[in-house]
Amino acid sequence: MIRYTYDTNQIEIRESKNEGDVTFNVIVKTDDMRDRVKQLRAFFEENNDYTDAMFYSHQDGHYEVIVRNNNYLIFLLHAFRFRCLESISWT
Amino acid sequence: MTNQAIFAIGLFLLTYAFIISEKIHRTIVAMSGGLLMVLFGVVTQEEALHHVDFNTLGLLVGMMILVAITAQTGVFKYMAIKAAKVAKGNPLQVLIYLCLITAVASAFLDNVTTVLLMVPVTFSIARQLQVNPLPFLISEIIASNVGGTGTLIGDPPNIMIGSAVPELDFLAFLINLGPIALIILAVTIALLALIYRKDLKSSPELQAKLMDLNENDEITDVTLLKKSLSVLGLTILGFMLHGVLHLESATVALAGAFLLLLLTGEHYLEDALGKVEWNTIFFFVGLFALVSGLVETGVIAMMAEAAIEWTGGDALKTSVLILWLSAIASAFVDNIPFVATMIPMIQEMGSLGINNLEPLWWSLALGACLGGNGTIIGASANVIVAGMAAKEGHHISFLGFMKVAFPLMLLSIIMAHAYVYLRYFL
Repeated sequence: MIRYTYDTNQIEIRESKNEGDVTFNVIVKTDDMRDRVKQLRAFFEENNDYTDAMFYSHQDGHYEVIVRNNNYLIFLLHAFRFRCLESISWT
Repeated sequence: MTNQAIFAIGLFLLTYAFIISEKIHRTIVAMSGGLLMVLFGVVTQEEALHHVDFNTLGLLVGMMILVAITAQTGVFKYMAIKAAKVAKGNPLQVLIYLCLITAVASAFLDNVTTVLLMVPVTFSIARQLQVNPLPFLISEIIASNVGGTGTLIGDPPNIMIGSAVPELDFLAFLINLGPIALIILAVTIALLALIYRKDLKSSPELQAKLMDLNENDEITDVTLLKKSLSVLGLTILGFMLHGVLHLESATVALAGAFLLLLLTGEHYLEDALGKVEWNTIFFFVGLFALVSGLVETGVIAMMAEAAIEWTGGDALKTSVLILWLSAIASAFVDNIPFVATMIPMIQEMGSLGINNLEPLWWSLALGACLGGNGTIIGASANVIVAGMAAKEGHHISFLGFMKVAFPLMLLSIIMAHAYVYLRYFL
């Protein structure tokens, strides 16, 4: 089981499981965090895997990120790397 | 026939067989074939290099650099999401709009680059609507080949023909092939919509979610976007005027590419050069060297003589032969090596008595570009999309693609046949 934490003053993350993937609804609260999420997005959009993590930007400014099940951990690790998350642990 | 000619034919056929078998990467095969022509003394290195068409290579490299930089602005994603929203998220209408964007972009960039840009955003839209991406991908392949038919820079066969025949400039391609490409595109998209109408269903909730997407957020760098689009516009204007200005198309494309690099700064240089598909460039080099062996040993001249004998030197019959032969051949083998072989053959026909070669060139362009739609291995764009789809777990089978695309390809060739007859021989 993977657990992660984030700074709720900067970002809000809701996660829901689908059949073959996981959807993260991400509400960004600061410009600094928006830059980090954009870096995370650029990382996944520039690699050669087109469906590992798909980012959708919505009108109200929130992001919807659909992550393939086999990329779940990789996505979280990179979210941590770009400091969108504060901690990540296995329980 | 000399021993060298027999050797050249044998080496050519062997190379072709390896390209078709796809056991070894086509670039390695073509370069090996070309080098063996030199190593065995069929042609000297100088003769082989003389046959390498640097205008084709320069045009491809220039456009690849331009598009690589422009793609970084997110403009292609913006256009695709905007189109999906204009279609109100209706999957069938989204398919139609994505086909139109693919076709237009293919005509003015080139179809290989276009599909590379369209496939990722297609996956994204299909997932959002929870529909199978394959109908979109197959339709985009077909639209890219049809769209690319309409201009000099749209499809590798046209680039090669335009480069080999200086009097056929960008405007000549647009005037002669543009109208028929438009007609074929309209018919093809209508039929694709009919074929896939039952496969593309989504829920109102998912469509509403798609309508809520913010396409403006896809633009990553507004300043770069303005520079890229301005230079791209200038380059296309340059293509339209290159005949009048007495400039080769490669000069225009490379001038555009390096003007953009001048404006954007050197930090884009390495990335842009890294995104040039050097595989494709060396594939062309190998093929030109390979075909040089057939030209220098007189094999191409013999083939041209045989074709003229068969058609009695009649321009209409020869055009029809070239159109259908190119279409069927291009459906089953890569159209680039086929066109590389046909160009010197048609040039030879000019010296054998056919006075007006223009309908023959248009027949070759129509046959090779549209014929590429026949099978999944028919054109570079098809192979690239199939590879990208397979990597994401969506297999486009040879027969599955052929079932949809081959009848559409035959229909497009029938339409092209009627067009060539009505426009050049009536």
